[in-house]
Amino acid sequence: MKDRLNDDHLQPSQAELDALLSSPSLFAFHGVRASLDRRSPRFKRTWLVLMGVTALYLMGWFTGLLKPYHAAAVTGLEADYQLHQIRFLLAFVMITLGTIALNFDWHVEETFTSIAWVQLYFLVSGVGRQWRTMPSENLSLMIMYAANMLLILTLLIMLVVEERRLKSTLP
Amino acid sequence: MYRLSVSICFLFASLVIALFTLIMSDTSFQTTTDRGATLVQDLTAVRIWIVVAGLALYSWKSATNQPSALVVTVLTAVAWIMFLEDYTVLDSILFQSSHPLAQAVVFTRPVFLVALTYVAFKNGRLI
Repeated sequence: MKDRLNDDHLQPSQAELDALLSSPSLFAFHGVRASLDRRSPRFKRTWLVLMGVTALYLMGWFTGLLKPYHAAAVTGLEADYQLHQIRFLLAFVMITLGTIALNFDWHVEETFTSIAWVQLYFLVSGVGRQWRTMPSENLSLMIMYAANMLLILTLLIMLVVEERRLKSTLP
Repeated sequence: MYRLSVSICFLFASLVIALFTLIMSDTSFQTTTDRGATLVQDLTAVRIWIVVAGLALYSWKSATNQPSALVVTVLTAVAWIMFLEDYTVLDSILFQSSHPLAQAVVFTRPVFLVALTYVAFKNGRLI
């Protein structure tokens, strides 16, 4: 009898059960499409352009079209080529992290802000390196490189701004 | 533990700034190739400003009690990327670190990375 009374006392109320069931989980898979649908059309378009640039870069790299435009092609230094390789890999790791953040709708703004800063590091160190090593007749090459990096950086900043705007409109 | 980690980060930043000052003023640091030397100089010149800016920004945010989670997260990501670049790509052309200060930087770097990652997680309240 006493045990039953204790059990009743420990039993959660309906309000408590509702609160427990409605609490959002830390990770919940939504999918990129569902996640994009909740965001502004500008965010969606920016994300698609970023994916398009990534795909074009991959195509350009694997067909060998981009090879003459790299620092290693001008400096002939193996380290420049390896540096490009590792940054190429890191860029895809970052894209993957961004996609995962979107899939789970988890810290999207923070993820893209971090990616944008890393991209800025790539831009500054890459352009600085080319500025010092490229011959003056290859200035157009450096401008193309900087423009490519700036385009990606601008897209990332647009994603961050749009995400911040979305957050500010949510209750 | 958190304060110790922050202290390690500040200690490492101080060592890096001191080493950079030494490299700029002392010509005895050698790389395996001349082109390697310019590459190291280029990268170090960019990185030293990241260290100084990161240190200043974190100190300012801490002093004014502003949230610093995002700043530390960004610095952690950049620090790990630099580490990856150095140890997978630039290892063969970096200077032979015979100077005690250079050895101290190389030795404390993994500790610094772990400490910085801990600070980032702690700031983001993930631990």
